[in-house]
Order: sequence, then structure tokens, then C-alpha cells
Amino acid sequence: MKVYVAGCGAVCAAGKNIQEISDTFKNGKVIPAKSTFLNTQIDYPVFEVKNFNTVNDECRTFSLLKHALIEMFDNSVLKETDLSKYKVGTCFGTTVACQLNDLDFYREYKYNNNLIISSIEKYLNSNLAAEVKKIYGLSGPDTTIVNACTSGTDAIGTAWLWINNGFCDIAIAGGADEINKVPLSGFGSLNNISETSCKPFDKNRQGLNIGEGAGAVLLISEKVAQELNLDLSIEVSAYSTATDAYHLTAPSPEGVGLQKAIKLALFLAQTKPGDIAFINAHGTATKDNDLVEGKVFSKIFEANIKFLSTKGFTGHTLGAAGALEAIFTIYGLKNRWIPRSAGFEEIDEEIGLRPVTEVTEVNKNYAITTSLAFGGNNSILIFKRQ
Amino acid sequence: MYITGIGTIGIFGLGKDALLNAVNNKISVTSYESLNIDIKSLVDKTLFKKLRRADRFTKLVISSVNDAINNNQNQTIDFENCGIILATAYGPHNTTFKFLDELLEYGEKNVSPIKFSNSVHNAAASYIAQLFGIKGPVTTISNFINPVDEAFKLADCWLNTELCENIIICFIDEKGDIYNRAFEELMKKNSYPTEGSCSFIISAQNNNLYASVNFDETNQMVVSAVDKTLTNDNFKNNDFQSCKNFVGDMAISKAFDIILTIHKII
Repeated sequence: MKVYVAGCGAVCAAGKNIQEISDTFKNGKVIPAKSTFLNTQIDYPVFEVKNFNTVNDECRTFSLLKHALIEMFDNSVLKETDLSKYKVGTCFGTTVACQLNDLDFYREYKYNNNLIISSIEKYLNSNLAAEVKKIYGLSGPDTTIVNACTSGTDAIGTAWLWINNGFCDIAIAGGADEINKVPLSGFGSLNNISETSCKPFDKNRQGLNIGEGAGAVLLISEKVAQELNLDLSIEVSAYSTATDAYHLTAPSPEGVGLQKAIKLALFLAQTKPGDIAFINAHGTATKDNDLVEGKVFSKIFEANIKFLSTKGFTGHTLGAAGALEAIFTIYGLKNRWIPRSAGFEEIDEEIGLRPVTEVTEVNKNYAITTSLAFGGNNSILIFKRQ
Repeated sequence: MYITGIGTIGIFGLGKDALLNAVNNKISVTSYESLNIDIKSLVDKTLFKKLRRADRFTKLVISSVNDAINNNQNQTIDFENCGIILATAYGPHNTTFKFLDELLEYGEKNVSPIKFSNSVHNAAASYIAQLFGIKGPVTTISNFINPVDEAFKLADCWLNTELCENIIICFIDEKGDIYNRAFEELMKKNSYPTEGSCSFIISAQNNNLYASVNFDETNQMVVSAVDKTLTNDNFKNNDFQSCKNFVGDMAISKAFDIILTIHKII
């Protein structure tokens, strides 16, 4: 069964909606800076969504997601009120919203033995998939995926699987994460954070910058699209995922899981490497990630494959990254252009591939987005333009 | 899809026979001195030889996964084509709090990378993959209400789409100080916060099975138990015997209920 993209919404440091993000991609630049809302001891630059107000009693991650959901429905012909007629699933990825990592809450508990119940309730009301299901009064499956940095990709992939296997007719899927002290200091302890703007795939890359944001997509089955007489141009063509079984925090040097996942996704999409217009790479700008992705791209695709990382515009938005990058892939495929891979200047001979360095026209009908994560996860989405 | 292996660990002990013994002999959760699982007394320590950096959450779930693999009625599992779905409500929250301890006590520049990496929800699934050489899809899900049905739905999708041939579905939740306090404040009386893990080996092939699992037109899970002495019966959600009196209260408790259902304890 075909599954179509009926709407998208996004918010990140590059813009508070898809048009703003597109404008930044075409003409702009985003410079990461110290967070304005986290009172941190460390000066790592971050890609923050500026002037974004969190709704009272809500975690910032969920406020970001709700912002993206509003845009998703605004640019879809399917409205919230149409959902009650169908089985609608919700699937979202996150890394921060699944943890009770509220330092003020924990400080009060640890030093004063005072359990602030409102913090617990806030946490219990932050399960993204369950809360979105509640807001829209939906009846389909709901799952929050917590696969670290592949979470957003896996959430969209899971929604695609649900529709294909009859668990729902429509699915709202994506990912969201906020800038938080836990990943900021944690990635810092792993020496994975750059003290300047990240430089994906560049010879002199020094690591990632943490970012924040949310991406939401509305997926509908071919049957629903026909019933509603919708003419939709982008199809989710395939999803696959495979693990390295190698190391908790490092990818397999040969990209064993990534190769397997890409090959399986190409098979499921019934397409071949030469049909791919471009790859929106994970491209975190860490030494290991970019090297592994480069090696695998060289093995599977033609030498002149067009690829980019958008993290030079957004930072690494963790659980949101896969969802945002899926939306950027959809946008690129639909509008036939992709942005420059921001931050890249000099080729790394060990990688041997150069990402696109300017706004680039793309004309083939398939595009891939790759996501890699802590724990050795490698997840792939393939989209197709009709 | 078919269940071919079952593993579990809880306050009742290690393995499904220990669970069935507790149920058959009506050993109530209130009869235990402690509601914490003593992993050291139940599990051979050599299992954890390669997991010295893993936290207790990971060791709990690996205990049930290993039990399920040993119990699998199909003797061999092709781990290259095997997936893992780990479902939890609250994840490794004790490790998250240990990381927060470091943030508060030593400052943001001096936190432990090991504690950070273990506090990530999918660390346990990664350890399982590494320990057994599993190279298929691996996903961790966090649902507070009913992670069990959602995990089985995902498994059904993976097998139908041929992302893998076998799946280890594992369920885990761990107790802790904050968990206990929150439970006392928010839950009704006569609730017993406990911890435990259940794992199921799932296959697309219907040989040597304990039960088949399907979904009806309303997406309700239907477990059809196989027993040599009884006719196959279908059990839906409302038919499941609740294990609560014997395993305590957990968001994943339906996984224990499924083990009872498979063994016709209804």
C-alpha cells in the first residue's frame, strides 16, 4: 500500500516554520551561541530556537512539538476535524522528554527530601505520542520511540509500517527535543562537542553542536487519499533500520548496520542507488560519524552522489533530527533543490567525498535520509516524488 | 507471529516456572520482605562478564532475555536477522538520577561519560545486541499506559515487512527511591510498586511454538495458546488473568499476564 505525506510542520534554529527554514537554507546562515535560557557552566555554542515561549506547565519539548503540529495541519488539506472518521496513530521520537531530568526537581528531592509532585505530573504528561493522541482524541496506536538520535526517523518509519500493515489509516509522526543540560554535558563528557560552529564532513570538523526543534508529518494511506480525492506528490517509499552490535557510543568502523539498512531500504523501495537524487546525511560533524557515512556512501552510491548535512543550520536536534531531516528531504524532493552543506570547507581525504557546497538542483525522483544513533542504530527513510 | 521462547525475572524469581509456581501456590506480592529483585542470587554472574559498565536496568532485562533464549523451543536463532524491541515505561531512571547527582556534585564539566551513555533509554537494547551479536532492527519504546500491545504491534509490522525473521521483545521496569515515593503519592492504596522483566522470542515460523499472537479488526491483541492437553483457545485483552497479586504493579505487567494466558491460567 502506498503511504503519502499530506502535511509537514517544523521548528528549529533555522526558522519557526518551513518557509522560514527554506529561506535560511537558500540565503542565510545560523550561528550557534550560548543558550539564553539554560544557566550553564559550560560555554558550548548551541542552535537554539530564539524567542520561543514554552507554554506554562508544559515541557519545552512538547511546546516545540505542538508548534510544529499547528503548521502541519495548516499546510494540509486534511484538518483536525477530519481525523475522527479514521483510525489515526501517533508516533514520536524524543531523547529528553522521556527522562525525568529536571535538575530543580532533583535538587529539591536530593537535598530537602521534598518530592515536587507537579514535576512528576509534568513528566507523566510529556509522553509525546500519548499526549498528541489525547489532544486530538485519536483512537489508533501510540508509541514514543526513544532510540536516541534515530528516534525521529524511526517514529516516521514506524508510522509508515502501521499504515502498511493496517493498524491505522492515518498517522501523525515525527520527533522533538529541547536543549537540556543532560545531553549538553553528557556529549561534552564524551568529547563530541565542538566549541565553534560544526563542520559536517569537513577535514577539520571538531564535533557537533546541540540544537533543538520539532518536526511533524501527517501520513495517510493511498485509500484515504483516494477517498478524499487528494493529489499528493510525495510518498514514503521505504523505511529500514539495522544495528551495528558494535559499541554503545561509537559506530561500527565499516558501517555494517548502515550498509545493511540502506540496502534493505533500497530493496523495499524497489529502486537502486542510481535513482537517488540526494542523501540528507546524518552528518553530525563528529570524526567517527562522518567518516563512517562517507565510507558507506562510497561503497553503495555513485562517486558523484549529491549529499549534504543540514546540521550546520540546525545543530544536532537529537530526537527531532530524524523528523526534521525527513521534512527537509521531502521539501528538497518536492521543490527540486537542496541547500549547501553548511560548515563544509575542505575535503577530508579519508572520507573522499565532498558534500554539496551551494544550493543545488536535484531532479531524480527518490531521496534518502540517514540517521545514526548511540547504541549502534542506523535508520533510513526513502521518499519518492510522484 | 509466534512465541517460541519465554523468559522472565521478578520478585518471584527467575524463569517462567518460578512465576507459575508463585501463581499456583498463591504467593502474594505482600509476602515478600523486599520488592527489589536480588539479581546476584538469581543469575549466574558469568552472564554479566562482558557487561561490567552496564547498569542494573540493563542487567535485569538481559537476565530475562537470556532466560528466553535458553527457553526457546526452536533451538537456533539467526541473530544476524533478529530484531530487538525493548519496551519500558520509565527507562533507566535510576541511572538518570545518578547522572544528575554528578551534575549537582561535580558540575557540568566533570560528569561521567559512562553514566551519561547508560542513562540513554536505548543503552540496554544496545547491550543486548552486542552481547548476543544481534544485527537486525533495534528499537526502544517508552509508553506509560500500555507498552505491551504497542511492542507486539511493532513486531507484527517488522515480520510482515521482512525487516527481520525473529524478534526478541523484552519488557522492563525498575524500582527506585523516587519511583517508590511517586507511586505512594499518586497511586491508589493497595498498589505495590515492583520491578521485573519479561522477554519473548518471536518468530514468523509456526513450529515449536507456545502461542500465536494476532490482532483483530479493532487492533486488540489475540493470544492463542497451544497446549498438548487442551484445545487451542483465543484470549483477548479482557480474558487475560492479571498477575498483579503475584508480581506487583508495573506498566509492563500485561507481559506477565500473557505468560499466564499461554499456560492456560485464566
